[in-house]
Amino acid sequence: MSRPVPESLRTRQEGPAVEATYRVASLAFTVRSPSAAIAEAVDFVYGEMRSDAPETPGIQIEIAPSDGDRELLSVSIHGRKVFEAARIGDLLHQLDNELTIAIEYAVPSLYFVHAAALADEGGVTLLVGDSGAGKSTTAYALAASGMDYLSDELAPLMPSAGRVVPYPRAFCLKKDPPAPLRVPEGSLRTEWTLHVRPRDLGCPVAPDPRPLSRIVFVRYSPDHVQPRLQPLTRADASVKLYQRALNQLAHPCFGLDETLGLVRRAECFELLAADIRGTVALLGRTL
Amino acid sequence: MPCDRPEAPLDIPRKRDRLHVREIDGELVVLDPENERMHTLNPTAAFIFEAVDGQRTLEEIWKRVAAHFEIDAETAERDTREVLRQFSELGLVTGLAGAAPEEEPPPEATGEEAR
Repeated sequence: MSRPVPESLRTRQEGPAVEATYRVASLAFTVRSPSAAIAEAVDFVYGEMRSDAPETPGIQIEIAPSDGDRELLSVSIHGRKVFEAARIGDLLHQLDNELTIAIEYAVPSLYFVHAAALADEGGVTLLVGDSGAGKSTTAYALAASGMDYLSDELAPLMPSAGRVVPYPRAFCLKKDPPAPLRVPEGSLRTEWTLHVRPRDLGCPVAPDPRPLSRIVFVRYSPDHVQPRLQPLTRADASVKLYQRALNQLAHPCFGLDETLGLVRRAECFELLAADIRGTVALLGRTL
Repeated sequence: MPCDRPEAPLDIPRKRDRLHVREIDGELVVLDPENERMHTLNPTAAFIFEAVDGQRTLEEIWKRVAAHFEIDAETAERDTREVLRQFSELGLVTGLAGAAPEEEPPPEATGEEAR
């Protein structure tokens, strides 16, 4: 059974404020929620990054009832209001977007890519692709098959070390995964998103940065009967990776050398994803 | 035989300023920060791009292409013109006068662009 959609944000605002601290790389972020219920939803998504040790927070986020409309929640980062949300799904979605931007600013030495990241003994496989390409579903399936989980959406990379930093927030799916994948009991379902914790999939979370070894650019087409994995030249991979980077301009020479440095460390492929069972089997055989 | 086209005085292509070029596995990656684009050049395109130094004429470039790839002059001139025309359209080179389109399909010079 999934958790139900909360009836309204108002019912979730009752109770004392709750503060929780999380950590990604060397950066702590603290989220102050107006009630235990809101804190629980936030913690569901970021709980794998929970840090109970005393931290000097790098990012301070406050969720509070809006002054103008008590039906809305207002979210501030470092005291500056960044958005208001009427639904819990919107709150979690926009909070994640704003948090991503705040982390990019706070740790500009990292190279952020819109990608999922999973690891095995050979190193980290980055799954890079646009929304709808099948990246999240493929990552979900690989996690369910036993790979270690680092991230499903945002991959922070250490360009000089060639390592991928874990950002293990809960999986965020727009719809239920296709069979034979399942939604584990206790997942959080909002109006339009489904959040699944890696632990509920039985998937270990990588605790520390791991070396990058493969970059797979995922494309999905319903016309593909059989999935196909084909090698990609590093030059083409560089362009594709640069396209999906989020903060390349924060680096010297517009991030060109960081991009090429990362690609040089990895085997690069293009995956034409098809049905998920075949796709995962192909990746298991090939990678 | 080379194409029977008169050489224009301005046919001395020049690379645009502020391009950042790197080699990776024998191919070139060109970042054009002004237009927020990145291009990959296959080995033939990379050879032509590197031959563009702001001093060599189009004729001198296609003769280098012919010698390097051991192809006939007509093919070398046609392909060089076409690649340079693509470079010009992408904003990578300037200084080309009248790079006319060819009848045959052009060689694939550049890969995907970023942004």
